[in-house]
Amino acid sequence: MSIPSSSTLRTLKVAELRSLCSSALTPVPSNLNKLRKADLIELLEASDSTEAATQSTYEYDEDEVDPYADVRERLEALAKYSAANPPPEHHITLFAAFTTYLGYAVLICVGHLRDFFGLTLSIGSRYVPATPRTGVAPLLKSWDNFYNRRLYHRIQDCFNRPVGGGEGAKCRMKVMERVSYDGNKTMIVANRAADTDKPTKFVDGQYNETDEDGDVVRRCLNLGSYNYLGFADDWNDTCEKDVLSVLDRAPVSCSSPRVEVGTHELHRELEVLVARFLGKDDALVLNMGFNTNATTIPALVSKGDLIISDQLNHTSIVSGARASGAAVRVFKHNDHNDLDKVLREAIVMGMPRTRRPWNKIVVMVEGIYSMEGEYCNLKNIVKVCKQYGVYLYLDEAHSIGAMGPTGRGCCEYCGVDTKDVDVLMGTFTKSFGGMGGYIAASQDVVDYLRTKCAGSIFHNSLSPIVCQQIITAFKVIMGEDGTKFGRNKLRALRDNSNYMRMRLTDMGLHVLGNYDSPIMPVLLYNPTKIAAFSRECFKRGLAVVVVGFPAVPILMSRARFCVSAGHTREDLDDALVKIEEVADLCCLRYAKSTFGM
Amino acid sequence: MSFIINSLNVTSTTLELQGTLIGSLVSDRLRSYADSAASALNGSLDGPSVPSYVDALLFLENYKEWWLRLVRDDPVHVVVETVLLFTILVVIWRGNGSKKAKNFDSKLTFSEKEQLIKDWKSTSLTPPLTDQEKRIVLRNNEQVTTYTGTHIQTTASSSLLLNLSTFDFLCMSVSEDVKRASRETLQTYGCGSCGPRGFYGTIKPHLTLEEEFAAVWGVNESIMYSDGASTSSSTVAAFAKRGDLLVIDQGIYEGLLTGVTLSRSNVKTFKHNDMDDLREVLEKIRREDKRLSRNVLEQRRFIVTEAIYRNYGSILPLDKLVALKDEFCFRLIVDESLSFGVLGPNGLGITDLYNLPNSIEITTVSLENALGSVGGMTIGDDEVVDHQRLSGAGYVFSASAPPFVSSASVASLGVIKKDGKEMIKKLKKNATTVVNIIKKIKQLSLTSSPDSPVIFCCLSSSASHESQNLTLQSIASECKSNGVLLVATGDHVTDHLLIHSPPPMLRLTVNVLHTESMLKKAGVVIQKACEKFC
Repeated sequence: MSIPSSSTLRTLKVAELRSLCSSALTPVPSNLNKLRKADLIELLEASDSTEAATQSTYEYDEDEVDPYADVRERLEALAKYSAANPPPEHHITLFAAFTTYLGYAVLICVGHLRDFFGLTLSIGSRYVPATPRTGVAPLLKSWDNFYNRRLYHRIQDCFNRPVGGGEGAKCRMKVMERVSYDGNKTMIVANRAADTDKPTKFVDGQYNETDEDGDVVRRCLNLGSYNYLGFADDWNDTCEKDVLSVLDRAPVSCSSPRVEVGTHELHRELEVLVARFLGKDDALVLNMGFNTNATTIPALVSKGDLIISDQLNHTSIVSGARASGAAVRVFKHNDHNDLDKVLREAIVMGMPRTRRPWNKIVVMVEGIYSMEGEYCNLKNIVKVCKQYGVYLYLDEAHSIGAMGPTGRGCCEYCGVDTKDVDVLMGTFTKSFGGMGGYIAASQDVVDYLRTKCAGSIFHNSLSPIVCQQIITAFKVIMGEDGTKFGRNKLRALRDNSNYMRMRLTDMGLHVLGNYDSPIMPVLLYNPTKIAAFSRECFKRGLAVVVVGFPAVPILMSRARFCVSAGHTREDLDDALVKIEEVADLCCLRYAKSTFGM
Repeated sequence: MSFIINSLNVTSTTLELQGTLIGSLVSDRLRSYADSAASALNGSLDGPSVPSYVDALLFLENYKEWWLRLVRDDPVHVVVETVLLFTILVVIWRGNGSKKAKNFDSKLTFSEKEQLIKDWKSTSLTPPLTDQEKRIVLRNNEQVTTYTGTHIQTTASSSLLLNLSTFDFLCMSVSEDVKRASRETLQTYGCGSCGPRGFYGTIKPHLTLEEEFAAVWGVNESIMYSDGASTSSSTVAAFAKRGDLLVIDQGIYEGLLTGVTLSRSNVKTFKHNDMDDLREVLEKIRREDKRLSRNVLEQRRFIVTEAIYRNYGSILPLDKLVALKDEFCFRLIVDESLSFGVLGPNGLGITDLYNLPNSIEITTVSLENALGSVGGMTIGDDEVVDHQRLSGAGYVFSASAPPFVSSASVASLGVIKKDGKEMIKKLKKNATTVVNIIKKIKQLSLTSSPDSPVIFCCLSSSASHESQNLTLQSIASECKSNGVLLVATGDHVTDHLLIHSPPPMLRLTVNVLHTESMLKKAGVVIQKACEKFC
């Protein structure tokens, strides 16, 4: 069933649109009869674009085996439904909210009590702050200090876990065991040789091994790295040859900024490739993803300009916006109606106090929000931006290479022409297994940024070796290496993500985000469950990421799974069994009952 | 005083008003009750009894009379106070009104708004390029094809050019040891780390590097960032917050300056590398503290400087600075990006040069210069490092560096430990050679410190900023066409974040692999170019 173009849709009557919806959409929205005309058109357009975007590129050839054949139909239906509807909203249950606040209250009270006794009696406190030099203020303000000592240190074994055993960020990696002899204040790597005189604190078990230095490692399934396309896993097959050959002829680092003598021919090759991949005039490649945002935004906007930023944008965008001196307004996460409202008000009201019109307005959004697992509602946001004639800056740190049938990111997935997005930014750390970031835009903008952005004129350029890694990864994704590796990777990533999301949702967990996104956050709520979930998973050989305050709102602590193309269905099935065990243990099935049981 | 009198007046006037209002109401009712009471008394004793509130009503009647008397006796008084009361009411009412007026959005009609939106036109995203910017773009099109440390070949040059422009002082980025270490790590760990340090992006080589650096400084811990410039900006912003005080050198480079801006602290500046001016600034702060009786223990205070200034090539007088910071109770943040591996008998930086170990509270080092790798380190005590693992923006929110660059840095560090002494001597000798050459060229005058391997010189003539810049650009491109690659900074090192930009200068950096004959030949080329354009 094909859907007419949007201009034709607008001429139809509401009743006709409704009948079109009921025949064209699967599944049919339950509130169909309540929807207004604009909503219906939007729904139809959205279904049209996703239909175009998710065509047969993902299908399996006759000689290939589809690991998800048994659930294929359901997976596709869910993905389609998710593309046409906003992601499910999970409301924290009253019980969870109460216990979460209670948890923090107890932690803070006990912390202050211990501080009080520690300082007055100076006994029993492992966390007495360092006394500074006389006449100098303490280095850390009381809340920072308190949060570090009393909340973070208690569970710091769940973060910064080092990876060893020669495994890098692979899907099956070896995480180094750490022990603490001072109540989690400091962690040291457990070493079989060095720790003989001290009691070993880690639980030795079936997953443990010793690496060549005697350090204890634990074999884990990696559900935390942004290794979306699995280039860390098959690096020796896909990238090694090219990268090592560059190591022979190019320096490790250029030791010079791009505008001096830091532009290696590989930088240019990569820039041309990025521009071609995204359909833009030119691109600029910089040394660090974070700095790409933090240095280009101040170059693009300044005092007298306005940045309208999504509520949940990444810190690098916030940093850049702050350093730029431009005014910043925030709109509700992914809500194009709110963006419209904020834009209207901004244009009508002009600058505060002087009431002069803004010089330019730049809307900043992300392709996939890394803590939410949601992708950007790009089509509608582009529409709003065009309507008011403002610029759009899209950060594709997580979506480039990971979304869309050919990995071209959020634009391709949402059916938006890259010409409609003024500045495309992205990083090479995630899908490409390298480092650094790019800006792709029209020739004027890129040229201007080359001369003005601190990342280009002051900071050291990207290592030529990393450039080659990214170029090779691009070639694989684009199929220019003559293999089907790239296509298979993209397909595996999508299938793995959707399967994992489906099973997690079936389990009754509060899972955030959309289908087709490789990030799936699961809400844990209680601060104590952050550590419990992470430790229990680790015990079972699962390396998961848990996130708490202040990275997410205080009530919304979560675990975040990142799926990779390198995972097999067996890996995921095995992991899901273990996650289910831990979910029962921690009472996380909030979608099934108020108490999570 | 006048306020109290006014308010008393207002109170009395209110009472008077009440008097009139109530009085007029009351008198009618009272009259009716009085009538009924009288008729009751006259009629029968069983009639309705007099209600108890008659007393109150009688009082009000008295009050009315008192008020009427007041009007009779002193009408001016009453008129003045009534006017006063009304003025106050009007003021209050207008006050509310002006709040409404502020939000003049509500006064705009829908069509007016539409018109405003229709009329608004955005300026273009980027302004058109100036000639100066066009030169940068043009230069940027030229790409390096071969890099040997001493020489560089670019797409625009037919032969090798003598490299006097990269910060690769020890030529580590092409050293065999470094490449071997990189290769081994690449083969075992692959390239990218695929995640921030907090979330499985900490790989064993990162830990090794942090341990090695801590050992060099004699502290327990150090912390690695994945980019040199973001090391300094994240470090400054992690410790200095709103309300804190930063005293900064006017010549610090962009990375530190960004950190200073992001911190939103109070900022005081002192003249570039001028310790006397710093003393004056600090004394002024001390006087102000006394005048305002500020509690010094509640404000974190830092002096922010560089060991070798990237934009000036001057070396920090650390001994004087340390004396000042101790005297005035400040902490030091020093960026050692260009001095580590370069200064001091062992090449361990500015503290090695002045033999003042552990005199700096927070040191940041970029691994991208003398160490020929990628990334940066911050070194300090446990508190400094531990805090950054939660609050250093570039550490927490950015993916970690590929593990192979850590191994490369460890290998460089090993080379410095082993051969550092000879390398530093050689580097110093090369620097002296170039300094002597520059001193002989009368069109140029040296502005950098004579011991620094980053050598800056400007034109001796005092022409305008722009014409100096153009001359130096021509000299640089003339040198390039004669086989010497140096940098004229006038085009790109311009005003940044509202701190004075340095004058246009030529920058020459020497490294350990340069031989005396190479440098002498370069000297001849530079001299000829200067003669041609000055």
